[in-house]
Formats: sequence, structure tokens, C-alpha cells
Amino acid sequence: MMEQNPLKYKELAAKAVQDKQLHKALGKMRDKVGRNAVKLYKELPTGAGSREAAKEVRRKIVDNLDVVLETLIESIRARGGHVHLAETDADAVEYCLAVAKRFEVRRVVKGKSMLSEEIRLNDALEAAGIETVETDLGEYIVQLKGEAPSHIIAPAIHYTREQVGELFAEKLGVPYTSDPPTLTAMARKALREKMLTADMGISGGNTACAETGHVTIVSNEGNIRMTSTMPRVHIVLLGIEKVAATLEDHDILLRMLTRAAAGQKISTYVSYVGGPRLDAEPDGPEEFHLVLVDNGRSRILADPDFREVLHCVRCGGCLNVCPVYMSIGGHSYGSPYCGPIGAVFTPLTRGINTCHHLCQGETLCGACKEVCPVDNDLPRMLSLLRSKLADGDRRWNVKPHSRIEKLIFGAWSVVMSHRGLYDALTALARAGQRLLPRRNGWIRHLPGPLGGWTRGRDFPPLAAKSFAQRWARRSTARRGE
Amino acid sequence: MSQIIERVRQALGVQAGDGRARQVFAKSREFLECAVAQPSAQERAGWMESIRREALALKLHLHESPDLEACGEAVAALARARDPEWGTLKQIMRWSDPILDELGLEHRLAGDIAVRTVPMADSFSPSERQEFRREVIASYIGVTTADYLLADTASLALLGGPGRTRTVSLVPSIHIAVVPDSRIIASYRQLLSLLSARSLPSHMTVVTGPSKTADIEATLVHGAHGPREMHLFIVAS
Amino acid sequence: MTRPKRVTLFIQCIVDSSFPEVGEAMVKVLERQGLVLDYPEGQTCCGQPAFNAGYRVEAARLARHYLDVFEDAEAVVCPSGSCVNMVRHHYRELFARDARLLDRVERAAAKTYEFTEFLVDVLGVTDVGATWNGEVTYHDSCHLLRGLGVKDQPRALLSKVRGLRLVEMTRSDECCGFGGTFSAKYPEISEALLETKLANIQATGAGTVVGCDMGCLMHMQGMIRRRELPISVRHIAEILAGEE
Repeated sequence: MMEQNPLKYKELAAKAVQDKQLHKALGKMRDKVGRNAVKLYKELPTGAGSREAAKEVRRKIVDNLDVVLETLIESIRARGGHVHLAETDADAVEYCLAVAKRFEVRRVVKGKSMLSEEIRLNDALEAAGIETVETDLGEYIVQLKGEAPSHIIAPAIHYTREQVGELFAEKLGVPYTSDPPTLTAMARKALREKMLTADMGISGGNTACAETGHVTIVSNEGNIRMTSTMPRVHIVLLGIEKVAATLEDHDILLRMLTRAAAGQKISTYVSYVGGPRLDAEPDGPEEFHLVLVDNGRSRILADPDFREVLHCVRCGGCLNVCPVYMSIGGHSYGSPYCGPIGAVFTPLTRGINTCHHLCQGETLCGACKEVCPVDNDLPRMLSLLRSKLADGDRRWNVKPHSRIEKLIFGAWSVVMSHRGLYDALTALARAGQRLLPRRNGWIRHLPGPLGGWTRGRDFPPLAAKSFAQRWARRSTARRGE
Repeated sequence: MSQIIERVRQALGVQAGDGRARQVFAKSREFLECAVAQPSAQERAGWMESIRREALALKLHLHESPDLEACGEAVAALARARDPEWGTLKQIMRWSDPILDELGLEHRLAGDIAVRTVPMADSFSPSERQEFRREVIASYIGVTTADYLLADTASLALLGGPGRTRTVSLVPSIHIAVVPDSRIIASYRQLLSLLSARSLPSHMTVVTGPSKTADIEATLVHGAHGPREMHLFIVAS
Repeated sequence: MTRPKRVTLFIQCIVDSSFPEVGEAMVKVLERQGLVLDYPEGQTCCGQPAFNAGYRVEAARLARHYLDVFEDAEAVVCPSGSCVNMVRHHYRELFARDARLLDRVERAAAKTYEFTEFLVDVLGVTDVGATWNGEVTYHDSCHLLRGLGVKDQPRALLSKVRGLRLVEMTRSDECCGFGGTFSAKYPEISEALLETKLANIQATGAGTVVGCDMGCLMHMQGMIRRRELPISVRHIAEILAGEE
């Protein structure tokens, strides 16, 4: 699969902003789902307070995660399911491979799981000689293309129908068409065969109910039901934070999730799975495994400043309203988790210095916070990540990102806290700006770090007299009257 | 394993067994009471309106039958009118359920279309499981009932168990659900409240309309991997 | 708050240094309301550029400066939503561990107003007696809208301007791509957002875009000038001052 590197953010984004096809495809997601989600939240009995209500539920769960996890594990084991707690990505992958080996698995069908992207499970399965087939239509498209998903909910949203048509013609040997129903039917046929013959199903989960011992998985296509039902063994991968305590918690969480993710009141399928088939059932998996993955999450949990990011329900709603995501697409982020949520979550799990672009490459416009079904304050956390980059941070093992920038802001803040110094410096700059090229009064080219501005935009010159000077002159004139 | 739970406790700065469980699993009185809420006649009338409206938007074909006799006839007619998506064999697989027994599909379709019922046994041998799997895959229609029908979203709640296998509502191209109107409840919230009060099987599915996807250019297409066509028969009791 | 008689001006750095005419337009509007205006000479910048770039120690230095300068003011009015948002919402993040300063921060937060919110919410005025002939479209600045919740106030003021017709653009509340130092650090992304914004402005057919924040407006104007687009840019104070 394509290498993912968050250090290439700027470079990849610079290419993506030229991609008209991408913008056309993403624009549909923005216009169809986007901020319409907010209107749908208000239809719930909790009304305008739905986001806050959902946030309170998530806060309760995350703040008592130990209790919720213990209960979940107990309930699932009581029903004959297996539960494994994986500390790292490698640990989770190893567990899946061990189960696959025991069942002599040759083919795995997968339901959508961002966590499996995070732990790079497909690469490991393929390396072990196991055919691994993504069954979500969008995931299937990007897998055929050899790419990573570009959206948490709609993995292939960066493709136009024509591009999908060309891909299917090439990879599946079918006649070219750009008709989405025909393309979907082609994938339905190709994947049915895979789903009916796979030995193992692996899927993600949207949440879990600790009290009753079920993992809850929503889907519209039905591929996740296939994945969890047809093969001999079903493994669910779930981040340790994605659980819930009770069915009452589920009410608001699922309703907010489907509204935020797809503008739906409810998904076509909400599956609750929590164990292997009974002796008296002629179908269903022989074994059921739940793999709960930490992989850096408990570290986030320990920092009250960032714990909030674990409230995320992975709806992808923040992507659909983010003007930066809309311009650069998901691949620019170099991480399975892209958009505003990825820009906070990825640095916290992969390293803040490594992901400095993700922390800095947004405008902090706040559209993500406004649409988030659990009211996550992503701009606050982005701003905080930037402060760690500015000054370094021992807890998060961050080195100061730029000593020069630190010096510049330091000097600037000293100047700006003394009006006299500020005036003197402004006077100097006013003289200096005569040397800069201008057109119609505005500056065409700025030197140094400000040069980025004048790449495609003119910059306003300093006025001949500042407001303060004009005010002083006016006051003098008035006193003279 | 318990290391991770221990690390979570350290991260939260909490102790095991400090009495938080009660609060974490507490349910609101309103939630608990919603299971036994008795709807007024007016509310019940509103439910049918809501189901009709939602079904239309979902591309869920809604049929209202006066009794099981009429329903059985309508289901049989539907089965005759449809062709299989995969292959040419016309075979139906249905749940083992008294309501579905009463439809009399077997004799209505005798000679034309084979109607099979999910086998009931305390356990199944590997070859019996293989056999059942083949029969489900060979069926173009799956017929189930539902434990609950949710008025606010026209969703079916299917609880698993012997005779009520998960593949019947999933693998065939057409899913037909026959539900007595006495099983209609108000909402998803009421469903969760009802489920909270009983012991649950290892799998349950809430189904809302036929399978669909919007993964190509956010364009809605029906029939992704699950049933591409879905019929809901509501039978007056 | 009750209607104050004296108002203290906070003319943030970019208006002071590059767009003094915007500050003067605001002065004109406020004086027409019969207010007596103060202008403390020591004022400079709220510290937002440093804060948004992550430099909190440096931002805190300017926040303290702001608190000193405006200590005695009854009500402070500023022609920028994002500067007011900084004072009202982010200062407390800077001094979370300093109870004494937090108290001063809360007082500053409570008395610092953005220009249009001050006119409409505090003075209760929507018709300031302005005339401006032509069609305009209005850009919602991010921090003004989502930080301060100011959406209707500018529109109410514009609706009362004689001769003016407001034409709403598509996604008026979508970011223009400025984002402080972001605009220079990630020019490609910033320009992409700006292009979308300018296209939405042009699609309205209105010749003028109006906003409440010079950060966004100078950003837009930067590309409008570079590409010589037929759009003029006005701060709302300039419209309300009746200047054409």
C-alpha cells in the first residue's frame, strides 16, 4: 500500500489543491452531508442540546473507562467470546495472525476499520500469504487502486465516477461504465463470491455495550453483516475508548453518529454482535474475538488537556465541513485519520514533532467544533499542540520546532508590549517598505518568512500615519479650537 | 491483559472497586419507563403514518395486510413475480416461526417454488451446517418476521436464536418481513429500553430498508451487499 | 450592560498601522451615537498572532499589557471579532493557574466588545443613519461568528443602510484561509481557500464584500489586487460611517 508520511503534508497538499476532480468529488460530500448534520441533531428529543448530551455520555464513559472495559470483557467472555487487550499495533496484528493461523485461513474479508489501517493489518495479513479483501465499496475501490482511504467514512470519496469506471474496467475486466448503480452491481457480484468463501472476517466496531456484552457495528451496505456472519471466525478491532456502558448510552450516541456521518436517522443495519453461534444455530461464526487496542490511547487519557479527543465517535463529520480538508483531500495528511480529527489524534499517537504540519496546517476556523456530534473542541487542542511545538514539552517528548520562530515571536512580543518601541519599529518599517516592489500601492513581494503571503497575494503597506498619530493630531486640533 | 486496565486506571487517577460502577451503569427513570409506555390510540395512528412516510423514503416496499391469509397470498404472488438474481433456481428460505407457518407459503407455492424452513435442532453437525449454508445461498428470497417494528424509522429489530438465523435476512437478494401490527413500538429508544429489561442473544440486527451505498460520488445506490429489495408486510391483528 | 457614556477604543495593530481609516470610520459611527471616546495611547496588540502560532508565553506578555492598558475602561470597543475573541475566550487559557490575573481577565472579557455587537446588543441600535448605494455581500469571519456568536448583528445594521442591498453568498461562514501565520506558512492551502471564497463572492454579482475583521479583509484584498478582480472590499465601519 501507498506509504503514508505526515511530514509530506505541505508537499502533498500543494499538489492536491490543483486537483479539480478531487474538489468536485469532495464538494458533493460537503453539500450533501456537511453542516446539514447540525439540523438533524436538533430533531432528537434532546433538541438543540443534543451535542452536549452526547458529549456528557462520552465523558462519563471515558472518565470511567476501566469500569466500562472490565464489564464489557466479562460480559463477552460469559457468552463464549474471546477478548484480547492489545497494548500496541504489533500486539494486535500478532493476535489476529495467530487466530488466522489456527484456523488455517487463506482468505480474509474485511469490514471497514480505520483501526486496521492504523495498525497496518492488511500488509501483515498479505505478508503471511493471506488474501485480504476489503468489502466496503469505498474501501474496495481504494484497495484495488493500491491506495489508503481518504475519508473516515467515505474512503473513495476522492474519486469521480469516471475514475471508478476506469479502475473497474482495468482490474475486474468489466466493460467501462460511469454509472454508479452499474458499478455497484459489479462490485456486489465480485465481492459476494469473496464473502461467501472467506475463512475469516475482520471488522471494526462503532461502539460496544459493556453491560449486555455486544459490539455495535453500523453499515449501509450489509458487508459488515456478511463479514461477521459468513466466515468461521469473526474478529472485531476496537479502540479501547470506543466503548459504551449501557444501551441507554447507545440511544444518543448512535443517533448522533449516523446523522453526523451520513445525514441519516439510522443506518440500514445496526448489528449487535457479542459471541459465537449457539449449538442450536445452524449459521454464524464458530469463534468471536474482540481485540481492544490501546496503541497510545491510554497516554492520551492521562493528559486532561487532550482526553477530550477520545470522546470522538469517528463519524468523519468534521472532514465534511473543513475547508482545508475540502481543498487538500485525505491523503495529504499521511495518516489513516485525516481532517481536523486526524490533525489532533495522529500527532498524539505518532509524535507531535513528526506530525508538526498536521498541528500547524489549519486555519483554526472552528467549523469542525460546530458540527462535531460530541462537541469536541478540536481548535483548542490544535492550538495546544502548537504550543507544545513552540516551547517543547517533556510529557509528550516534544522538541521545540523552530528556535528562530521562537526568537522572532519573543522579540515581537517585547516590542509590542512597549508602545514606544512599537512606534519606532513601525517608523523604521515604513521607511524600509519603500524598497519593496509595489503595484497600485500594495506590496508585490515580501522578504523572508512573510514571502509565503506574496506568493499569490499582494500585501498592504503601512499607512503614512498610524491611527494613533491621526488620533493625537485630532486631539491636538480639538484642544486648539 | 490486566496491565492495560491498570494503565487506564493510572491515567484516570482512579482505584479499582471505588464504587463508580453504579453511577456508570445507572439508567434514567425516563429511559426505564419508556419500555412500558402505553401509547394512546392517537399515537398508534401516528405510527402507521410515520412508517408509511419512512418506508417511502427508504425504498422499503410496504404492504398492509388484513390478515395472515391475505398476507400469505400476497407474499406468494410476489415470489412468483420476481426472478432470482444469481442463477435460475427459485427457492425461498424462511425462519422457523409460528407466524410464518400460518402464511402457508409451502402449499401456496407447491410445485412452483421450494419453500425451506430453518432447521431446528439442539446442535448441528458440520455437514448439516454446510447443507444449510448452501440452501440459504441458493435462495433468492428470505422470509423473516421481526421482534419489533420501530415506528419512527420503519426499522425491524431481529433478535437471533434457534430458528431465527442471521443469514436469512442477509444473503438472499430479497428480504420479506412479516410483522403483526401488535409489534410496533414507538422508537429506537423504546427498543433499547425493552432490550435492557431482558436477556439478549449474542446477535441482534436492526434493519432499516434495503442495502445501500453512497461510496461513489456520494450518490445513493440500492443493493450493495445485503438484500437489494425489501418488503415489509404489516398484518392487522 | 447598560448603555455607557464613555467608550474606550481598542484599535488593533493592523488597523492602527495599515488601515487607520477603518478606525476613524468606527470613531465617526460611535460619535454619532453621542458617545465620548477614549483612546489609551499605550495600546498595541491583543497577542493573537502569537497565541495562534503556539507562542503562549509571548501571547501572555501582550495579554498582560492589554489588561494594564484597559484596566480602568468601562467598555472597550474594537473593530475586530478575532481580537475580541482572543480577549474574551483565550486569555483565560493563558492564565489558568493565576487566580489574581484570572480575575482581571474575567473583567476584561466582560467589558470588551466587537463593534457591531456593541452597537446592536449594547446600544440597541441598528439604524445608524448611513447611506451607501449598491449591492454588497457579507463575509462571516470565523472567530466573530463561531467564537462570539455574532451573525445577525452586522446583517441587521446593513439592512438599515439606505441604498444598500445585501446579497448573501454561498457558505458565507466558510473560512477565507487567512489563519494568521498559517497564510504565510501554508500559502498553497491558504490560497486555495481564498480562491473558493472569492469565487463565492463573485457569484453573487455584488461588487463589494463587507466584513468585520481586517485580517480576513486584507487577505481577500491581497488576492483581489494581485489578480485585478472587480471586487471592492469594505470594513463594515466604513459602510456605516456613510462613506462611499
